[in-house]
Amino acid sequence: MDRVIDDLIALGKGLSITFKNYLEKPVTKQYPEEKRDIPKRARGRHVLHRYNDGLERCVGCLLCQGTCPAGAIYIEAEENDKENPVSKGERHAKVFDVDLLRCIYCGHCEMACPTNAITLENNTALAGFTRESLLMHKEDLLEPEGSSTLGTTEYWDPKPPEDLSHRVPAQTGEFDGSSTSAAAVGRGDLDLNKAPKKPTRKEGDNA
Amino acid sequence: MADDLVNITIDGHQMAVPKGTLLVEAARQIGIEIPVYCYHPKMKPVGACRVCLVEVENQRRPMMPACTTTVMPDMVVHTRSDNAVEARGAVLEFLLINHPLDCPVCDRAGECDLQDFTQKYGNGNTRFIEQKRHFAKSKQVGKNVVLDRERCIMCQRCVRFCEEIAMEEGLVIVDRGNRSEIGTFEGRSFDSKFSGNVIELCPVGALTAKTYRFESRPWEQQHYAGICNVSSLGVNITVDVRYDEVVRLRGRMNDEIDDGWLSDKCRYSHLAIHSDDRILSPMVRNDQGQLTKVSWAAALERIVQAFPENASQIGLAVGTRLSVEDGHMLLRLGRGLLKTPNVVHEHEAESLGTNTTLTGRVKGCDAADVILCLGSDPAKSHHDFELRIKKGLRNKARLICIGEQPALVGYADYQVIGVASELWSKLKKELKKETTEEESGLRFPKPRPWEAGGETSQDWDALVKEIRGAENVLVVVSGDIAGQGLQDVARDVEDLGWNTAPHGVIHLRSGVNPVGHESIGLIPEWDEDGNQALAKAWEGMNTDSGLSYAEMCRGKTEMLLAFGCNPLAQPESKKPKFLVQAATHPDETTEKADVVLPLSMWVEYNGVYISTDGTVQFNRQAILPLGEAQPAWSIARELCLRLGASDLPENPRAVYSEVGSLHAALAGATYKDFQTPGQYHWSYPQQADLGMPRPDLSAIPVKEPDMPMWMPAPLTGSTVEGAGRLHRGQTPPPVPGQRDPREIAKLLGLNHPMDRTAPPALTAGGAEKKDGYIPLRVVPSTSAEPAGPTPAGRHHEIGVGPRRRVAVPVAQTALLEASDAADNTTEDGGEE
Repeated sequence: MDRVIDDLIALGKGLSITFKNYLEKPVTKQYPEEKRDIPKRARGRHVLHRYNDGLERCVGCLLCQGTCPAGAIYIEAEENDKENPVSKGERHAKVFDVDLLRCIYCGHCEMACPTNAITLENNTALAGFTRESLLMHKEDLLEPEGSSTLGTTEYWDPKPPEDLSHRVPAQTGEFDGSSTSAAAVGRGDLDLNKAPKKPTRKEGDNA
Repeated sequence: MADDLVNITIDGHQMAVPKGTLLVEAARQIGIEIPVYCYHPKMKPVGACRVCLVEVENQRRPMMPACTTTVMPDMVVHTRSDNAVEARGAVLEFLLINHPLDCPVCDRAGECDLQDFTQKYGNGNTRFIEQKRHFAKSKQVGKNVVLDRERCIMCQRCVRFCEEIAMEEGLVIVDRGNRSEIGTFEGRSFDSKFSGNVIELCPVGALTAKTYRFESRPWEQQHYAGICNVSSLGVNITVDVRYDEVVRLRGRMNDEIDDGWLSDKCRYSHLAIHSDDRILSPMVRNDQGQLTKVSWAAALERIVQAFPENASQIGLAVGTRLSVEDGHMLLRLGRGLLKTPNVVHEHEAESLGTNTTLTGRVKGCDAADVILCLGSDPAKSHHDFELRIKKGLRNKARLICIGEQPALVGYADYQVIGVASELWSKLKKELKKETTEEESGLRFPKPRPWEAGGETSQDWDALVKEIRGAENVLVVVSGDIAGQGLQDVARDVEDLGWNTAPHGVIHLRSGVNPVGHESIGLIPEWDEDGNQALAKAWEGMNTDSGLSYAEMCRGKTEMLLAFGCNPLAQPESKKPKFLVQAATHPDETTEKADVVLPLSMWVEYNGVYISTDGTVQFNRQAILPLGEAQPAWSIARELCLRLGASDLPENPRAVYSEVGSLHAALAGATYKDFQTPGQYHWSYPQQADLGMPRPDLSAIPVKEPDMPMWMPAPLTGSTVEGAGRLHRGQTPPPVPGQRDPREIAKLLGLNHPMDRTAPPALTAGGAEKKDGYIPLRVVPSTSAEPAGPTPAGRHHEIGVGPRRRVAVPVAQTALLEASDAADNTTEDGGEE
């Protein structure tokens, strides 16, 4: 008799789970009509960012290419035209190709980037009909004009504590007068190429 | 001998070095690195940068600059003591004060001495929060030199190069004190023949090349040891390749030839390799008279069909830019298979013949008492030789210019204008007279005209006396004294007893590899006795004397095959009935050629080149041939195959072995010759680049008195290889061919700065972690003095955590707080 009761209890327990799940919302997503929520720090396709004034953050320094363990990035740098600059500072990337078939989405490129120009964003839906379609060029990677975001950087690279004396212009917004820092703080428009003021000599100054 | 040696102790290691050795060189001999910026082995030390400070015991001043301090008996030197490490860090901190954070956009990043030494010896953080000094970016100071004054650390290497090595006005220091900057004289441009050298010399990215600007990064390059293909001096170069594209050429130290310098003419010769007008596919002229692209097979078929019945109506002209292997295969094609006697190289008119041996060498300038320039200007045709002459002048040589007015005349002690051969016969008559007692060994210690601002002397008698008093005479012959005239000069020099290598006559040849081509017989006269092995191997080969190059250009043959030369640019040239040209770039001949073949340039295949003073050197392939281009030896081989030959060598190595087995002049030569230094100059690219053979550490601490001369590191600095791959906290990978400095330190029982263990945890107020960061300013309490061998004070540890952690001693913390207070009041953007 006891055994029958035990069995019934067990049956009730099992069915309660069944009925509970029966009443719950189904977890199946009707992809691609429905999209799953992706964690904020997920690493998907690369995005190249812009400053507020529309100039590219990337200066073509090739550090991401150098650090890429898969050899997925290819860059050719070029000198900026002073009248129509592409990026802030002296150089910019003329060619910026990422081979998504080679990329292992490790995120080293965003770690290496000195200007926070490249991030791995939440676009993980990466499929194509040809190999060429998965070779991303600069035009494909750049965020649209008018948009200026920092991407996932803010999640994985929180701001350093206040008392860190090593100031990174991009993070502190400080401007030390150099064109690099001007670029980093979004003031690349400053005309720093003016000759420095000649100091007026004081009387008795023999130096 | 023992009197010339001084016993010193460096980092506990006893050694004996010759008197007058600089500390930095002595340390280098046992593999201890002392960082330097201003010091350069080929220039006088100045002690401007102070980064080489070392601790010397029992001195009035405890810290001595190693680059200006010579060894003294029983000197005890510490390069890794606490004081030395701290002083070095402090100097680096000063150098970085005004140095902008340009590394991402700086061309030098990755091979920058400031980057490397800051990583190795720097403090890891900056305390300078004031305004940096700013200048306008990228000022073009010369045709190909771009200056960024912000990045300059005032080591004065470039200024000293212009003054000391090039001996001309170029870059100077403008203004004084902390306002000093590098510049040119007001309104002048820095357009020297040697301007590119300052780019290589600059330890930071202050001087960069216009052609290389933003082109490439050092960490993505491969470096190959090459030979300059512009002049016949055989200047050694490093070919830097990015994605199979030559991005720049740099000098490669070879004391025998170039002394580490490279002229602009050679430095920028790589621009032709990837130029738009390269000929990249075979072309045949069609009925409308236009060149049309065809396949290699069709082009070669067209040539084979065009060979005339009469073999002596075929001419083969070989450009001197081609290697010895190219010349050999073309000789096989011409004399061996086509059986024509007309196989010559383009500069055979200057040929001296096989009977005379010239003993002059490029390095002979260094110890010469008199450098006698006969004929046209050596500095005009051989730029790199000018620097060598100037080195001789700095040592003790007197420069005498006879003949055409050379560019060098500003540096000449004597100058005689006239026809060189006539003047020489006049001079030799006077020299051959009996030398009187007073005259021999007579020197004239008078100021040099170019030093004293005086004029070049034209006093004939003084000139003759000067030459008579000289022991070592180097006669530099070029241009118009060729052929018979040169043979006379060579004989006279032998009579005068000047034929002691490296002095005697040096003949500066036109082209690149004429000596190589002559050594395998690409001259009209065929030396039958000297080439018996060849005649045996190539049965039925033509051994007659053939036409000269000038005659071929005048259309004396029905068919002419020009490989890498431009016969129709010669005076009175005439197109033969059928003209084939293998060329890299279109020229006068290409316009009229019936068949044009694409020719590889020198970096695209392995080859051996013989320089004007007879140095046999190997040029390594750096990139794949562009387009459908082929090296000349390969084209010749294909033609040989179509003429029914078999057993042909299949690669340059095999061709060169055949050269060694068949030609008396290069008997026994193989590529193996280039693996050991000595008579041949060969080195693998990476080792070549880093230059210096490290001593065998098993010999430590016993040091032989006759120690090898220190081979200086390359001009560009210490750690080119792999430097770009360094991440924070990562130690540099061992360079092939060099011992790991830490290993050396271990052998010597020393602590290497990189191997230091971290000091014990710092107990200080407010040292708790925040968000994974360790707060920066930790005030160590007095009880936190680290026990054991670890030195007190700051320690060098970068990149272990998410951020750098640097402990700052108490006294400095106070300074920091003071500067913090100042920072709060600093205004944005204001300057001075």
